[in-house]
Amino acid sequence: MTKSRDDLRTGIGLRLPHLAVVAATRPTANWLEIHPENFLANPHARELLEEIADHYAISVHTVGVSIGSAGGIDAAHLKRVRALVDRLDPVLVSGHLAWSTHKGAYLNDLLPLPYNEQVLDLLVRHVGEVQDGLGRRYLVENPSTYVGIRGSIMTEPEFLGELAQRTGCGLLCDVSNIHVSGTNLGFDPVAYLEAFPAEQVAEMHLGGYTPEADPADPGAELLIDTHAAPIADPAWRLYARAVARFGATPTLIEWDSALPPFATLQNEAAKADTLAAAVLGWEVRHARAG
Amino acid sequence: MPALVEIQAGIRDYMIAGDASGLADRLFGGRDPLARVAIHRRHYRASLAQTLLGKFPACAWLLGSETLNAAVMAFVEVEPPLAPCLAEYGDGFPGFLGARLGQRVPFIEPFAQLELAIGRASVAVTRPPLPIDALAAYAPESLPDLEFALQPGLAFVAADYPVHDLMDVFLGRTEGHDGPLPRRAAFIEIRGARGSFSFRAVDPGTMAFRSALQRGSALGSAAEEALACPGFDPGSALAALFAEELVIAIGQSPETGT
Repeated sequence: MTKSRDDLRTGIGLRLPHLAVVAATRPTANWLEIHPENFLANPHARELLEEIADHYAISVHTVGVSIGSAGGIDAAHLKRVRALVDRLDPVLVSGHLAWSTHKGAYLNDLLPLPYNEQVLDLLVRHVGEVQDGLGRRYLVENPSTYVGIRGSIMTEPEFLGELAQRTGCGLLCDVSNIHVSGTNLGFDPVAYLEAFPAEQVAEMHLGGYTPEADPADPGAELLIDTHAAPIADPAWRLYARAVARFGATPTLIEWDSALPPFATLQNEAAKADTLAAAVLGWEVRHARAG
Repeated sequence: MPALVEIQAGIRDYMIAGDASGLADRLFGGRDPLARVAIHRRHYRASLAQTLLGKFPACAWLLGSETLNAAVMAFVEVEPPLAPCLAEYGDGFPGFLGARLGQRVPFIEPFAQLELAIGRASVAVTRPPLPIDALAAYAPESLPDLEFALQPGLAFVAADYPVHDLMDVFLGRTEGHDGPLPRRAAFIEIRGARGSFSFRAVDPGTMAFRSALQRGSALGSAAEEALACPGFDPGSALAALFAEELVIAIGQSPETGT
């Protein structure tokens, strides 16, 4: 896999509260990531997004495709996402190793899966449907986890590696999720990162998490993947290791709630660029929008 | 080992209604895996509640936050979203409010319907309107068979109470008055686009005519429906439709043309 200086650049998650200001002022950003589900039923937001897409590279990060649903992929939803993807012509399209829909109910969270052959077969089929349905390579992201499902016979990195090998999908390595899941489930984040299939990594995510007391274990702490806070030091340290392992890779700053001014996100992106450049021994360059 | 479909059915039931029976031995993580899966349920319920509370601030003003919050949480337990776009969630909430609180607040359902329609209209996008001259392209005898596409940000609410007056009070456009809202039929037209909106009372014929066109009725059928309302004049109703820039496309019904 050839990496270039362009792969070093860090993008910013574009959420609805920032939409109008980004459309009007075109602040500096290397690229922007959107959740298509926020735009499919909001024509005004979609109109602004289409204006923005004329000036920025866009990544589409699906949150409702639910590749892990035993009941199958929602073809109607996939078709709506396809229409937006065709209009935006994004540089990356991604989603989660998780499920959120069952028997018609959309549960609006990213729920865990067991990692075994039956589930792998199902996901191979579903990722194929998604890639065919969207007409593009799909990147699958490692989830943040609080609870696991019994019945796994392989680790998450092994499962992701098999999935990528059998479908040709890419992988999105969410560095913060590794730290969150490792803390919550008691595994070593560094060992997880070392086992992550590096060749398929096409994007990384960095997001803030929020500690809270574990109700079942007095004195212990859980990490909640809120995307509502600055990126914490342990995630930055793991990111430095990830850059060393994966090389320059487009990275996203994810901040979805308790949204700060856009400038705060720009600062986080610049910090990621600087850190990655230092790891790689490259001179950092910050691109300009427009 | 249970099939994935069984595991997901169990988690679904837990997420929606809190029924955790049979889940504990399927999960791992921490000293109490059920406490961990409760994090997912908390996020699910909070996200839906936030969505609904964001859509119905006028209902919160009218009912009080505590009453609306309780109604929202009750709704979330019986009506999960059916699609991944949360902007589409909550269409059934006005009816739910009516069934739950209608005896105490008899106009709550149409008031919530009006609020929902305003929210939806204000994220619409106006399309270029057609001038009335566009009708010249069609033979006069084909006019009754024409179908009109109207601006996307157009909506209608019929109510037994003037809930638009109450909405004006909420918006600070008029001052409220003491006493109960009088029972009086109201036919309310809502328009909106790109973050702004307006609403007004219209006569019943105008609402019948425009809402029939919006549902896809041909011009003749829509006019016929509206003629049941006293005082409705099809000619001036048609002219007003164009004058108010509401028509964005014209077609002919499949039986009569293209």
